[in-house]
Amino acid sequence: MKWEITDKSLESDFVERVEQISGEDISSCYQCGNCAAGCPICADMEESPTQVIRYVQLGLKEQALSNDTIWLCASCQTCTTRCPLKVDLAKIMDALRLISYKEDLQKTTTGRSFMKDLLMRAGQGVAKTLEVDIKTSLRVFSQVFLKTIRDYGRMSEMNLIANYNINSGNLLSNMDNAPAFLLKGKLALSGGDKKRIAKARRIFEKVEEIEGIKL
Amino acid sequence: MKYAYYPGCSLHSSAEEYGRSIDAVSEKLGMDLKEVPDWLCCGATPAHITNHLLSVALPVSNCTWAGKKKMDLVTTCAFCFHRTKVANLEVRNDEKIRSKVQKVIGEKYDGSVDVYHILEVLKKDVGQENIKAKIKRPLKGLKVVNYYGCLLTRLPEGVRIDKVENPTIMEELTETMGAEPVDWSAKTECCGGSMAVTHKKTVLRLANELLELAKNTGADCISVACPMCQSNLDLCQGATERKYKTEFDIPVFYFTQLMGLAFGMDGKDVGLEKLIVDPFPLLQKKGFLNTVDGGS
Repeated sequence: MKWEITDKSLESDFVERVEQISGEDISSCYQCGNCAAGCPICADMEESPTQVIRYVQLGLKEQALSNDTIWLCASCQTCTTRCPLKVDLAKIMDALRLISYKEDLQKTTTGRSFMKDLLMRAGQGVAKTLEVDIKTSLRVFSQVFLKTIRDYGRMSEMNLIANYNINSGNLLSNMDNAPAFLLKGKLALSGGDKKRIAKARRIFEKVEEIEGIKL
Repeated sequence: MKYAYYPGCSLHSSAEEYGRSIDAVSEKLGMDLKEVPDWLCCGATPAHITNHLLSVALPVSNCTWAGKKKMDLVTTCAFCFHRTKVANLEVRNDEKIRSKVQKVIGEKYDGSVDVYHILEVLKKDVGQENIKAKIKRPLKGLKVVNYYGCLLTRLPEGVRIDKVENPTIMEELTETMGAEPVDWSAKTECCGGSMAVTHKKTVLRLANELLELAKNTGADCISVACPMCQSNLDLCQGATERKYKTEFDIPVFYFTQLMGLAFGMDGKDVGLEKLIVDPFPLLQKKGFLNTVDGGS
């Protein structure tokens, strides 16, 4: 992908947005590479964490958000604890994901369309490459996970995997674990507990109200 | 020693053996763990990558009951622990987020509860001497590699439970149990967490590296303190072996299962039958499956 550092990018408000959400001073980073060296996922990423923060410093939003780095990031905090300048890179990664999510939400009209849009992309991905890209995979997983908490208050592996598989188009993902799960009784029944469910529902509804978004 | 207890989602399902062994061990040690009524999922990764307020409100909602009962909160899963501790501190120190969270959960909670991982409580409240006094079957000759995972020690400065890169809290427990802790360089390396579902090849790559390092130390088994780590090294061990055409056959225990065995309990008391990589041949070989008087 061709990209240019221009006055426009350097003066864009992208850096400010990232700093405001993360609370971190992006210009502190002097690109020593400690974060990338310690990152357990770096080997699988298109760009290293060091490169992504460099894109942010230069105001290059497209470049920072378009690769798979922020979606593969495991939030393990290794980068944060090793940065010699104490830049909380894990928080910056979170800020980038939140910015990306908000922008994707704005591209669709309601929360339901967001999920539909996601599912279509998942379906297209599977049709083309027999594999779903990590951004879509993680988004589908997160939406399904959060819906499970909203509806049950707690996680239920059976619900989660079933819904994830159907929605991501990855119908057989994790099926190799099914025998072990079933034989060893590692699946919980997805029973509902009224008080717990009411508590969860309230939290989701209040967050949607205060933040003006649909989760 | 009374605590509010937050087991987290998996301890009632895929990590039931962790929950069972904690119940057994805590009872033996006179710890009274009162499960938080109607606890909610901490939100894990999905919450914090979607909305910040949600990711703070969910785990903090589990602290309010402990606050009312004037108890500390004890957690078991390293991920739940990390999320709950960090979110709770945010509510304690940042009045903007505090007032928002109070509106969301409908309670005037101020972040005053102290959040611990069960390892901390065993060390500071129970103490090595009291644990030693309960040992009926010292795990002599068992070489254990302790795997902390990435989040247990990676807290902000000032609130850490141990040294970040080379912690020793689990090794101390291993020694107390009479077993031999084996040193290795991957104590706090990440296992890939929930990428087991969304990007399995990363987890298999990391599991392969971890299991190989563990095997090369000559250790008999791995001991963990987090359900995600346990799952990625145990449930995924077979897939890792097949992908990388290698053989590990290393049992992965929850540290509380080993504690229970050291206390003289039977395998069923600590859920050994739930482990995927069969631990029984190893335990049989070391003579840890004998019945012990006054054990259970």
